[in-house]
Amino acid sequence: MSPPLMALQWAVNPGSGVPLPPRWGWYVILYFFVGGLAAGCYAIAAALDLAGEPRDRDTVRTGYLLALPGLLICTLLLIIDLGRPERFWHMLIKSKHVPALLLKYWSPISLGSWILAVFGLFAFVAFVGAVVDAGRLRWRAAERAVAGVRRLPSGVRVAWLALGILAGCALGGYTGVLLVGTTRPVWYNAIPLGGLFLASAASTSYALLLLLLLRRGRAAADPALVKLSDADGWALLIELALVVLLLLMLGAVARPIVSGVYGALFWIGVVIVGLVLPLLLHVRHSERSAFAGLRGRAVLVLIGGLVLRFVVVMAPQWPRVPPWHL
Amino acid sequence: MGSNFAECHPVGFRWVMKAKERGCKVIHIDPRFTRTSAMADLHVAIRSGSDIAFLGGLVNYILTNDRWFKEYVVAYTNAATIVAPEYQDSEDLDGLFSGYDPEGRVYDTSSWAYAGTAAGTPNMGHGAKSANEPHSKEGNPGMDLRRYPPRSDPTLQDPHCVFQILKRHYARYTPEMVASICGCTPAEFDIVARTLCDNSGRERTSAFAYAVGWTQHTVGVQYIRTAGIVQALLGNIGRPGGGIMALRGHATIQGSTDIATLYNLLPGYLTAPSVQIPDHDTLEGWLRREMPTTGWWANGRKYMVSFLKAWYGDAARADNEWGYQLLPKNVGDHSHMPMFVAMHEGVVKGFMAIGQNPAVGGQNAVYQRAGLANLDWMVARDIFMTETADFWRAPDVKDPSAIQTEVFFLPAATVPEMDGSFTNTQRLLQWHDKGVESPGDCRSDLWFTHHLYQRLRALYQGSTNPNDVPFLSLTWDFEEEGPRREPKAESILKEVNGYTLPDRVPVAAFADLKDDGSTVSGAWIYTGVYPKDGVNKAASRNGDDWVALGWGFAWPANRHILYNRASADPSGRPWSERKKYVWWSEDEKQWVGYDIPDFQVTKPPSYRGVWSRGGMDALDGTDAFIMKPDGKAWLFAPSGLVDGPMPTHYEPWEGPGANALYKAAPRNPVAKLFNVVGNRYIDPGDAAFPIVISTYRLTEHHLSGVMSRWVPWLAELQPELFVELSPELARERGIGNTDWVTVATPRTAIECKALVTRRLKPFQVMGRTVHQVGMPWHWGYRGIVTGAVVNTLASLVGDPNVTIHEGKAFMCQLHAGRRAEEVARGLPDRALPLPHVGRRERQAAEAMIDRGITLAEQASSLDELVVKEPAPYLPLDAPIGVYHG
Amino acid sequence: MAKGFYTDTTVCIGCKACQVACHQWNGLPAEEPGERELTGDSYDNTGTLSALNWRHVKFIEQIPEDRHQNGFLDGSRWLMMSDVCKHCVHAGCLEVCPTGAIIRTEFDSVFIQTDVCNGCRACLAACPFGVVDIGSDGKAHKCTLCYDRLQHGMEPACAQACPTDSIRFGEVSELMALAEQRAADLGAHGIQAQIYGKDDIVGGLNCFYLLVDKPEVYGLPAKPELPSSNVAAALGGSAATAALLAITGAVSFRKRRMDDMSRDESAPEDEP
Repeated sequence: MSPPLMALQWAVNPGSGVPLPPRWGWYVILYFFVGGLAAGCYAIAAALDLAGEPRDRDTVRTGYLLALPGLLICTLLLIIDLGRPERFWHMLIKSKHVPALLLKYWSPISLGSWILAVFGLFAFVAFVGAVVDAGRLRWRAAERAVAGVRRLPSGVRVAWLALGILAGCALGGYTGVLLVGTTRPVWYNAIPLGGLFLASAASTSYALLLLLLLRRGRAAADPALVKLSDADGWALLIELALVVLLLLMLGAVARPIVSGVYGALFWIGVVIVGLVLPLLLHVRHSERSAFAGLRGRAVLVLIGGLVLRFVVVMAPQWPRVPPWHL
Repeated sequence: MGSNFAECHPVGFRWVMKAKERGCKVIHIDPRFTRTSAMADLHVAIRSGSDIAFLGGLVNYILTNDRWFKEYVVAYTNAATIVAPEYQDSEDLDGLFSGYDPEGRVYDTSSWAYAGTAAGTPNMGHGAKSANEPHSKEGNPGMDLRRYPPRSDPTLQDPHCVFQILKRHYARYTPEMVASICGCTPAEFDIVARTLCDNSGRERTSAFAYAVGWTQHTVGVQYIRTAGIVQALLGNIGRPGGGIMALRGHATIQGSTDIATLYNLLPGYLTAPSVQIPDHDTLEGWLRREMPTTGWWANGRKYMVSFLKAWYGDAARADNEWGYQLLPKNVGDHSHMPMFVAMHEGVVKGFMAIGQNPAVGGQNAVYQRAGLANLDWMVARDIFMTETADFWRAPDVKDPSAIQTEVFFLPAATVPEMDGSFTNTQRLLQWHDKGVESPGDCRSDLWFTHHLYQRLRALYQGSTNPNDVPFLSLTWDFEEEGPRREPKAESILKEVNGYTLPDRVPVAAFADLKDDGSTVSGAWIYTGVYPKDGVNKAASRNGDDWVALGWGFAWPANRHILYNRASADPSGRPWSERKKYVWWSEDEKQWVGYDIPDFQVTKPPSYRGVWSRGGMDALDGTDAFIMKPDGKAWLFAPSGLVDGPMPTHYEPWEGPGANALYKAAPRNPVAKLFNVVGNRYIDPGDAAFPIVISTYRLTEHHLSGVMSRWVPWLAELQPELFVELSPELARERGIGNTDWVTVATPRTAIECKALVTRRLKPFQVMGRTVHQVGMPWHWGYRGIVTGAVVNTLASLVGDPNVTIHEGKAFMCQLHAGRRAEEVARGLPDRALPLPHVGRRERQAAEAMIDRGITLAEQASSLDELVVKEPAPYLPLDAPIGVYHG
Repeated sequence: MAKGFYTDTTVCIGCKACQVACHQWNGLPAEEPGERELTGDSYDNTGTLSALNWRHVKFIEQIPEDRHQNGFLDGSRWLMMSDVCKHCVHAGCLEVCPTGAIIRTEFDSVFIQTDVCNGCRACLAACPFGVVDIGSDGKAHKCTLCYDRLQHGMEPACAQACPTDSIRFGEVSELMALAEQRAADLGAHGIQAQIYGKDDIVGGLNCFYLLVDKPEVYGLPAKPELPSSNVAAALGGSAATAALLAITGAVSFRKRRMDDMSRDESAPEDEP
């Protein structure tokens, strides 16, 4: 059925001839958001670890410290969201053929479970390294391990970080694909959604890093922050372009997202607050007020990122699923 | 017509679908477009209560267009028989027939008899003055054609012959008249008529199926009569694919009329004796009145004697009229509605509701509940706490302590928990075995009746009161089994089937029953179901694709199509190869075929009957309708019915307006009326109640909801009561789909939701728009899903032949919103849930009247008792549910 | 050999015996029966398939407004159809299930192993017909094609209960032949009938229908999709975006460095 017809029918008689809403609510929305942050922070940190300068050390350490907790929160959210949380491991191991592993690469959720597991490994290593470096973990074994790893040939380190960045991209980039891998008209037809969520992961991660570094007392003009801010600007631009592309590709099917209350949230929260305003402010580069400052811009971007996931996940499930559904 | 086969008999409807598969055309004629209509090839909507006009129109069409099956009609119907010259038709008397007594509201039916037979034909009118008239066994009256034989004109030209009367009677039922009365178009009528006629005749047959949409009218019996005339004219009776099938109301209600739980019948359709019919004083008199002297019923003596032997055993002897005087005699009309009136009057003091729920199923249900409130005691036996069992704390009873009835509730077993039989619409008995023991105190109906008898008998033992003799004379020797001492259903079946005395060998056929006291038979029509000890034909399951004689047992004598002699022409050859069913074999000198012949098996077609010989010898080898005294299908009914020999269109007792055909008798002039408090009728065309209403059933629920509203899976399928109305009416009243509305009749007002649908349409009746609505009546105040009781809207009014209520066509008003209390308050003489006079007060009043104290003196001398003289109208502000002032 | 249902909607009388038989056999409770309301949607008070309703009879009234002048003879219809899991040859739910709970049985039916399912609800979003639903026990549920009955040589409860044989169970290929014949017979009588569920619909439906109107009229998608169809493209999009982000990121980081280096070379008194 053509997307417009399906969408129309769904609007007229929800649940008839189209899939039932999966009741993915706030657990999943927050998972997408936090997951994007964990992935993005790690990838940015790893990139700077690979090719950055000594003054980026703070950024790297901050990023590495965020990745693991973020991942753990994600995992927890996903597990709680399950109808049978105690069976979360069924997505990794065949429950009837323990310990055979299970991967269905054509199923985004199956793929995603492994991405989380693999990324978790990188995040863990990075986290341990970061706390040891920060002197927070006074455990001889850990310190010796980190030192040992440091002594590995640089090729190994490069490969590891490169793979880690890939893992981060996978985590940030598969969440949108998870929604595409359904048959709900708004999601199914949203091919740019994977990229959009990845771009949003990047822009929100840059924003979070900026916020945390500013809190630590760094000045806005600090080069380490400026390069983050620049990259953020590019990410926002890419994100905006992808939003436009998405709307063009969806056409009439986009109705649930662009109209009504969710539509208002989308245009105001995502487009204006989350994308256009920060971009404008970035270009104008003003320091005059706190609002216009780096901090303010970062907050706007974070808000926009959360609202984006909220609207994309919840709007197509309305009216059968209310907006506060966990 | 008059039925909703697919919705109310879905499993039976599979056979209609199989027929459709083979090219059968299905026509559904009904006020609503139902799930049956969805499967029909043609659906024509007609106003509730106008079916006789439609069917009469078919008769007219058949005669006018020469579509009647001539050879069949001449040979097998009474078309040629000459009627008494004094007979005057409703066409002559503007709606009345000859013999009407307007004061007594009764007909003297002697002028309807066949010419020259009046002296030997029972007169249906008795001159009784109230609604509590008894009536004779309908349809097969005891005509004496042996001494007073009829005359006939085979050319059908005699102006007094049935055929000519038929033509005259329906001459005005033209397609235009039908359209005007029914609310359809002449074109729709034409298609139906043409299709029906095209599919009848030698090569093809058509069948009618009806249900309570036809029977529940003040002219219910006449509805079916009209269909009988149509089918007889088309030659569709007694032939495969033909006939008229009564889709009975619920499981084994056919058995209920066969073994007679009806007050006016004894098992096997023998008339229950009544003190109001002088002939019934003796057995001989009863036989004379009830059993014709010609035709198969001339054997009636054998069945009556065998029946009396079954009930009274050794107390039934040749010297005491076989125990006839032991039979209880009716003193009036003891059917359902009069019984509840009698409760109000304090005449009936105790009541047993066994698998019955009149608080929901009874017409003018509030009135009926109030009757229960006037009883001394009541027993309810059912599988759930029904509305009837709980009548004393119904939601509209504000003060249950005002009800003094002592109520007993006895839990009952369900069908899978007992052995027994079902008799279905096709007269087929099918045995069912117990699958599981009923829990706790739940007991089967057989157990209850059996043990009730044992205990009552013990209480009556040793009584010298002559009134107790009949009860103590009953035979009751059923075997018991098991720790619960359950009566063996098979041993009851054996008595119903019959056996010889004294050796108790089962009788194999009713032809073997005798009138000398050597045979017993509980119901002669069932004889043959248990032909040998241990052989229960009702349990046999050898089916096949055609008549399936090996599946169950069809009474009588396993004949599946009644009157199947008519499937062959007068010479005994099938009417056509395609429709051969039963035929005469010259080689074997007997009737053969696919079914058991419904005829004397060795009587050749050439046999010429002689009236004076009586019995079956009076009937020819071409007289297929052996149960009729003259062996003919009756286009004209010379006796047996109290409201007319020819069906005629009367408007429902409460209808939208004038009768298009008749002025002197627009409604059934002998309809059973109940002029009691709380049962106000309106006149035709009352502007306060302009909408036609009918009640009906849904597939998802069953009757009063006891078996469906307590089952979650069924309850959720149709959770709420609704009224179906057309969008046109909805717009007029400002009602939206699923809005709450109030439906009101003179009896009361109820609230429900609206289901607006185009499946209902407004009718153009006699030049103006008449709206119709419909309501499923399954809801009550007990169960998983509850709702208002629809039957509170209907009135107590009935067909005069059988006192069946008119629940399918009356009038209502519709209001938007929930306004039942307010609207009901504005209804003068509405029904109230408590009796209008308390029992004690009434007894006190009666005692005073006995002592000669007048009402006026009473009023001043009684200050502690509240006595109210029943007023025809209640004050408008009387609160609902609380009557004692 | 593939087994499934052939549902001939032209002989469905809307009795809902299939719904009740399914509830009874599978021990499924009614959905809050005392709280249900009249939906007003013809005689359909069930609404949709759900975790408790594995059969759902739909009612579509097609009655023209002019019936009150001309009667119902021309073009009035009341379509009835018993909806059920289609047990697709290419099943979207099976594709996405990450625990492998959804499997294809030896009867070619699609079966949810409820001891494996962890309630992630991907299958809900993946079924284009809106069949699978999550139960209050946290697991996904749908019609099992009465797998337990099939394993004992019985037919599914709904097929056995259907009084008019609208629901017929058997070998899909044999049933399809019956359906073709029926469609042809109806066509000969001037009724346009089509089979919904030949292999043009997600590779074929083992539980297919004979309809007399467009699928959308019955609430069925005319061209249902499979969830995996766009996954590759979306992943490609993510990859492309990742590349773009990497490039712009690298540019931002390098540029800053170059600027810094050039600034370092400039006059020290310019520094703040």
